[in-house]
Amino acid sequence: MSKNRVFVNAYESLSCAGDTVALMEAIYAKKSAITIDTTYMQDHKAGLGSFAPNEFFPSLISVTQKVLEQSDLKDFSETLLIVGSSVGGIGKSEQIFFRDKSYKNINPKEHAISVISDTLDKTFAFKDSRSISTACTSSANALMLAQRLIRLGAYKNVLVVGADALCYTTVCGFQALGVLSTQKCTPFQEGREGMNVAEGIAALLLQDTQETQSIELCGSAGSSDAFHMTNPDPEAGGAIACMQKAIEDAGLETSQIDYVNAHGTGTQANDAVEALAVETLLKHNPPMSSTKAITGHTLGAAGALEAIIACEVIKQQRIAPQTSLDVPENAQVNLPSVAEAKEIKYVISNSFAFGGNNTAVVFGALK
Amino acid sequence: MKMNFKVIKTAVVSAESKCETLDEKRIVPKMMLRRRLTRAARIMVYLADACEFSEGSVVYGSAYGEMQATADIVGAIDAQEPISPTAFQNSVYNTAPSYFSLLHKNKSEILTISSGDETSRNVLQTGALQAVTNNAAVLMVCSEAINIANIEEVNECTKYLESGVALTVVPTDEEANTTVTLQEHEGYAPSLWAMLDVVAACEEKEGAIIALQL
Repeated sequence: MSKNRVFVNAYESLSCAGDTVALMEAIYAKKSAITIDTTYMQDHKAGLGSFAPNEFFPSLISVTQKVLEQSDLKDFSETLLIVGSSVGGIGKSEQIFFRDKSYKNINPKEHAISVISDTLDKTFAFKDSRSISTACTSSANALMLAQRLIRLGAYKNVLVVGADALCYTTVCGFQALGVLSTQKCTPFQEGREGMNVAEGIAALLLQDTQETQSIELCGSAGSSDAFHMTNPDPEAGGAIACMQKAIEDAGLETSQIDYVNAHGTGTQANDAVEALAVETLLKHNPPMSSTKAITGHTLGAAGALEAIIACEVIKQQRIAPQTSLDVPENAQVNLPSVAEAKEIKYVISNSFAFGGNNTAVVFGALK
Repeated sequence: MKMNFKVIKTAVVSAESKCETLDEKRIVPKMMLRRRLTRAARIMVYLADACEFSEGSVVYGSAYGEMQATADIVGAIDAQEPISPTAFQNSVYNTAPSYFSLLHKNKSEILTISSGDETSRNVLQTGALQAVTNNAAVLMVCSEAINIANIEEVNECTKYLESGVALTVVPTDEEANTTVTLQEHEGYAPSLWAMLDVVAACEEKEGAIIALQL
């Protein structure tokens, strides 16, 4: 059976930090794009990442159009679309329910996760589409599936789109869990308060053909903690397993990883366990940072958004520094404070989700 | 790209309001865990048990996810009441297979598909890919649990407010011996139809081998 190489040949994103160019400028300048919101919850402040209220679906089309324009494709008629999203159209359902106090005017098709792929398919007419919803690993899992399909030769082109909008359910839900920060989040900081919910859209075109500017998607893997619905395994077994398998899938040794783009939500539980996983598995102590300090946690979009950041770090040969960090909780991991230029061949990007769902993807510079 | 798969086990469950015979006490002996299970999770662990599957890769699908948890959260926000943390943790689309992984300490990959009416077609495709990738058996489950208060305000076509379908498959080099025919399955949510087609084709047929698109 053929085993094609998989290349990221075009991408674009939109987050509270702006498009991909603006995002990378913010990351290297250590300038968080989180704002402190007082509208979602009465009597509670929350650090949130928003790009333009009510502009989510037009932005989704615009980001996808930009990827098409960057690519060598004239349209997406021979491209599979894989969407990763955790909330789909729930924001619109909320608005209708809050207004009407009933479900009558909710269109189930516009409520579902698949509203994102339906919207894109109406505009771009993809060969086929499917949607993945595994909470905060949704678009990382979309990347993993895309890689496997191209490797096998089932598709030549796959567009992965991670997309989630801000909504009351997630903002108030994370508040109910007691993990929402009232300030800009401080991943890996001792005594950190929690996470910032954010919205984001990220699209990557994966192909079996190499171009000059390609970044290779070398490896991916998933695992389950089988420990708790929201708390990660404190021994980091699931996180270590998926990182290790992704590195093996890429045909690499752990010592070859040059940078870790951490899941790094800023919650007590996630960051402690992820730091332990990196400390345990990557003995050569590569630089690691969480860019959620800039973008907030874009939930189902995070895997795709951070995949783009991983590609940019490789292209720019410059480590993404850790923003909003004074005193790290775990002094054994390497959390760089400056955007250091460095030879970067391989980057691993982690995503972890409710249900103990873990995914890691490995990107590499062209050989 | 199509590849061939041996269908090992199949199972279906449905009820107009609530599935009453899910055998939860035997399948989930720990009361604390059993009490937390959503309706979709109860259907999931029942179907997995019927397919005699407890370890390995799982692909789960649902067009509408955890409707009760979602309704509870939105209702609480509207009423300016506290949200239940359990409702929020149970509101994600991968809740049901995650409880399955907790129950069986299954640390394998779990994927959840939500593609509207195409959900079970995509579950079959993704399950086939996972089976080929790992060269191992995969459990595929698709379910809908939409029996919430006032669902009639939006439900126009689904008679079975709780329903689920499951199958386990393993890749094979043998020729396909069973043809799957597309049908309408009256009363079931369309998101289940493609997997119900497979079950209908393989029913009472030992050693059924089907071709699945990746």
